[in-house]
Amino acid sequence: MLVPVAIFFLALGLIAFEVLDKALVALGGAVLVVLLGFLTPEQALEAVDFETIILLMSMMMLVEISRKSGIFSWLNVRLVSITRGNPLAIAIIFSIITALFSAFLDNVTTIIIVVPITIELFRGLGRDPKPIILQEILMSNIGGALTLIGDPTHIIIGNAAKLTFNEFIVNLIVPVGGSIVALIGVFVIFRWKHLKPIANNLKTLLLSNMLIRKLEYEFLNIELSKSFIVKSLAVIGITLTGFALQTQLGLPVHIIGLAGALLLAIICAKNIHVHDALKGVEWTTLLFFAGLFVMVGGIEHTGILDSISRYIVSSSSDFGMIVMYVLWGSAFISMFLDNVGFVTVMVPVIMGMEVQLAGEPHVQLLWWALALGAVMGGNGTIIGASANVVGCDLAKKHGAPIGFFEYSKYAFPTAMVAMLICTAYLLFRINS
Amino acid sequence: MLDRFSMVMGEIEKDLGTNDLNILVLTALRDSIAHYKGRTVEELTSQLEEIIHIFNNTEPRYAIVIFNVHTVYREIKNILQKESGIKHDFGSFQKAIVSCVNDLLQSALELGDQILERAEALNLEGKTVLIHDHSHTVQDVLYRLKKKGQKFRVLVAEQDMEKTLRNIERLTAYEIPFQVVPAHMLSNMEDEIDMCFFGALTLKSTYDFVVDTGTNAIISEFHLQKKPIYIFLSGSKFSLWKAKKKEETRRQIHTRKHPSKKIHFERFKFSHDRVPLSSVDVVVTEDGIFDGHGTAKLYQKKFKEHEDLLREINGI
Repeated sequence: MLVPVAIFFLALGLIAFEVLDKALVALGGAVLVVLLGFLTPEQALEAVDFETIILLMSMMMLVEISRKSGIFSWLNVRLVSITRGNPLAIAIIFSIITALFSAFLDNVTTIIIVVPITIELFRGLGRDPKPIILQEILMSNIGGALTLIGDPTHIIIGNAAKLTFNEFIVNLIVPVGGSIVALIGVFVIFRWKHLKPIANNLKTLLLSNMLIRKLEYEFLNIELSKSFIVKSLAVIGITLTGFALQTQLGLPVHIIGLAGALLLAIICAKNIHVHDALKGVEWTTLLFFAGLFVMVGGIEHTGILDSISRYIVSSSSDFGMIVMYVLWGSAFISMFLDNVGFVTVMVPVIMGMEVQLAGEPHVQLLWWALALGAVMGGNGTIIGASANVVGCDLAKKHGAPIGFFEYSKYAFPTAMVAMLICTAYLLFRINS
Repeated sequence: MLDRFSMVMGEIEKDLGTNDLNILVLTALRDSIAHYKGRTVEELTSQLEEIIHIFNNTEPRYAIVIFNVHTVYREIKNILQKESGIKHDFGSFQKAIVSCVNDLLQSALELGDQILERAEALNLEGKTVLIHDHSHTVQDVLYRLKKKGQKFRVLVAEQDMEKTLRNIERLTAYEIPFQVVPAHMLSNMEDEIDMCFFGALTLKSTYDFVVDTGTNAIISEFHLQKKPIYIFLSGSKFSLWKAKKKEETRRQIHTRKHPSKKIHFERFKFSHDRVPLSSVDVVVTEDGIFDGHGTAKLYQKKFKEHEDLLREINGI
């Protein structure tokens, strides 16, 4: 009974220590589960959540094609121009834009778009770019918590719990919005020395303006095709509208996403070859997901996840306390384990808890607790989320390495601030 | 702060060229002065003086930028002198400086056109022109002459891939027929080349042009072959101060690794080449087309004008 659990944790360990590529590890674990007889091949196939995989693939294609149009870089550089090099404006605008991008693109793509420009600007000004890079990493994770498509964990939760795109926004706008505001406030207070206005210092103002114009040249030195941009924006708009109206359309999100991606690929066929569009799809990530679903399916069949659900539900008679266990438990585990793997395991646990707490009017909050805990907790350490690793890699490439403890020194307390806001929000919902 | 400016200006010049650096600096200066939140004229003047000091001391110095900031400073001094004894209104003073910088910016934008108008006198009909650096002025001259109906061929001496590709992109966009040959193989095509076009960063008081790396070797080769060497350069890019020493080329040493073997080696890179005026046959500026002697006289005239400007600024 414990063998599938052991296989799962061994796989997570191999992934955490980067012994092998995560796709190979997850698929290897999945094959082992089948070979050892814990799942039949048919059961294994049933365990794979193809809706999640199709939605992920579609969003990756959509983002890759749109990214090639240059629209995100253009927007980023235009926003830099608006700041006129004012460090406080840069910090606030970049925090918000990172969070907003992340809500609709994936976190890693957001970091890849935003961080290089910030590093270039801050380095040119002779300022340490690490604080703003850290802020952007935190914002990318928090922003991704707002929508169904903002984080892979949300896609898994949304599909499993049949939660709509709109339900994510309605239920998460307060804790996510509150966390964004709080974290910007914390950043400004702690980094005020580096954010003082420069409008009364002509030398710094001039240097900033020169850097901004240099950035405009560097990042916009591509031929921007207006029609390509318009098509990208139009299809993104249509797809998001489709998500918002999924109930009225009677279509599942993965079909809406796939339709959007295919529409964009077809109408932009002259701008970008389908092979290049498909290069943006992280096939290893999708294979990782497939393997993960099978391994968790194996664990589910042992009944151990049911036991865990019963244990959590029986641990307290207070529903609020149970929600807190899920929220904070998810947060701390997500800091050290891959949050996608953790959420995949927790989905059947929460489903079990839903059944056992059938009479509880706020039982849906269990899903929001899992969603918020997994994402907010992922901010706490470098290894908590992919965006953290990618952001720190980019920083290292540009000569501003951020170590594990340096990251945690700032990120852990700010993650706790966000968690307190989520705690307050969930308790308010329970008691209202 | 001086190091910051030197680094940023060096990167901009490397990517955009000196003319575009000048336009970028003037645009940034105009916007900065316009958005500056100061209280008194004295504060703004003092901060502008610090900026002028920075531009006078960047490493390397950019003649075209220095000339412009000195012109701005003269304007400041004129305003202060005209209204001496009267308390200056900060807002009007700020607007006046912004307007001065804007006028310089407009002149800088028109400078390119003035050189192109002079270059129209050149005859490239049926000829093969060799280019090497990524001078925008050279590219624009070729385009202007093509638009005037002249038919010619361009040979691009291949160098740093990024610069060569930029040349290729522009020639393609301008629909000018061209071929590419590695710079070290040019000796095989000497007979096919009729003239050589180059840009330059500046002309120093030692009568050396500061040019892209690799240019000196090509100019030396074709000077020996008695092929006409043309340099296109605005007079405002002349370095109007005494050069401290003849050679101020910056050397960078990088450690590189063999792609497939465990071999590490040092690789030198240099910032620029120096080409003596005596190796150049024709210099095209906005003031006209000059031979070596005429260029030296033009330089001396501008040197004196700048000395007079400095005297005027210091004397006011």
